[in-house]
Amino acid sequence: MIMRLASFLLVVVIAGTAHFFHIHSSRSASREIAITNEVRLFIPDGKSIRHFCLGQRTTLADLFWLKLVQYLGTPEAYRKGLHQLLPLAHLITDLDPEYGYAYMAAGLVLNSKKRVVESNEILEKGAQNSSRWEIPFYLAFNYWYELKDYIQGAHWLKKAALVPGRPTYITGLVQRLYSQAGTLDMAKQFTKAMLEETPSEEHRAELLQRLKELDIEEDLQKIERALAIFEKDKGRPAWSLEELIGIAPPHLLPFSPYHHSLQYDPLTQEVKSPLLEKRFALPKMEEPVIEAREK
Amino acid sequence: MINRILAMGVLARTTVAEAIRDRILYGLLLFGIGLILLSAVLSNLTVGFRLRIVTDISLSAIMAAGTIMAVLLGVGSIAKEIEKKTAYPLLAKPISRGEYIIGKYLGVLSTTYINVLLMMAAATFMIAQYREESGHHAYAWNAFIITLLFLLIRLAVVASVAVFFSTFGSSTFALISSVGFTVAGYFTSELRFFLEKSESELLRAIGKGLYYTMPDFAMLDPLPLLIHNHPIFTPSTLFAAVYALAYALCLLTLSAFLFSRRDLG
Repeated sequence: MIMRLASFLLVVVIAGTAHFFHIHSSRSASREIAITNEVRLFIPDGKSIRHFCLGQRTTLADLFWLKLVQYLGTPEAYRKGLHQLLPLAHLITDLDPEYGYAYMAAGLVLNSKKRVVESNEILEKGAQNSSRWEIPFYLAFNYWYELKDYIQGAHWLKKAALVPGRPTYITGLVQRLYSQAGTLDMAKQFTKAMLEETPSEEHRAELLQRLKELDIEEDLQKIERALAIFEKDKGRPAWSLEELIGIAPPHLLPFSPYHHSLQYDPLTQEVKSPLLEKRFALPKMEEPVIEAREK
Repeated sequence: MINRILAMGVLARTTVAEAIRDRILYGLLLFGIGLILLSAVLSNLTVGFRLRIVTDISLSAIMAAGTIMAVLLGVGSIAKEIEKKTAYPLLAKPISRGEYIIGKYLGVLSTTYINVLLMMAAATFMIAQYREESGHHAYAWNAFIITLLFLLIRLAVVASVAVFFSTFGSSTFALISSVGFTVAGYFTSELRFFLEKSESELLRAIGKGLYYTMPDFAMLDPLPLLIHNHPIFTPSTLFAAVYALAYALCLLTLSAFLFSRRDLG
């Protein structure tokens, strides 16, 4: 009886000791985190451990993904800039290169923290390995909106538009992006290429409508330039579009089948077409675009 | 011929009856089902695509538990029985040693399959709860079933490895070798990859030799294909299945040959 009681007490003491040190270790770790101001995560090198996970790469990637989600949900880590997000995302995607969500989540969050270069790094890795259209789409957004590099933006948006399963509006965005970068011809060429690649009748009709809009936009731009030349030459604005014949250079006169729809208001000198609801605005070219073009 | 098949069937049935009493099996079964349930808990910690987490962790849990079962049962039903001499009365009966090995193997495999099928049922039930989350694609149940079949095929190879090492060594040797060989089976393609980068002709030849000698379990795992919604039923998976079955058959033949030459006296 005494032996039993002693054994029971011994077990209680050992369990108590284990619990005490567990709590102590946990509190100490919390203090260390507070001191270093960063949530510490064990992040092994993905390229190395992928060889030693007994074929369970996707499962291991899932477990690290859960860790990433928890990390993102840690207010302390978020406040301090999520410095371990990129290595964690690389680890997951080294283990499972097709882990589309990991690229997307890391890319978006890094963008929100204004770490665009890192966001592009993980998204470009994703664009090579995953077939999700969102990845090149986010890249396009990063280049276009954050870096003001319209050429790269359009390049990635075009890639997104070619991924099966993307929403149809992506194609429209590509056109606008090219148009806004001042290369209307490229937008037309791309739309024609898309038209050839698209078996769906519904989507083809939509693309044909967009091609028509691009033609009208081109006509409008030509007319506007012709009007400017006319005003410079005659010292007054044109009263009608017919006045332009013989004055404006022939290459500026519209040739599209829709040019009859163009309407000119001599008072405001505005040209428009009822067939085109919204003009493709041409933004001011900024440095990166000019540099990219020069390259 | 029919008598021999019947004898092997009786042996397999006896092996199942003996093995099913082993408590460690229940422990492993609970471990597997526990992990499957855990996958549902873990899936609540993620953002989106919970179906992937449940599928991935459940099938990995089944594979892990099934592998441990196949190794323990394979070693326990042959090497241990020889060590304890409980196999001798059976071997004294009019049954060849080859038939003994095959009967035992079938028993080991059947016991493993019974447990694994229970875990598979639990996993399928769990996955069915999340199937609505498979997005605009319907969940690829055909691919899921093929993945389960491949899991069974892999376990057949693992069991044949355990039986093979049990035929000529002690139970400890058989256990360590089976575990080592099975683990190495997941590294064969990596091993070949690294050794083929070597400048030494000899090392490259060794790499190639090991690659073709050891089982290639990575080839027999269509789980990543299922997870990423890639086509599973392709000629390469069909070849992989034939390869695995031929590999297991080859090991069993070798086991029967080695066991028939073993001096049990």
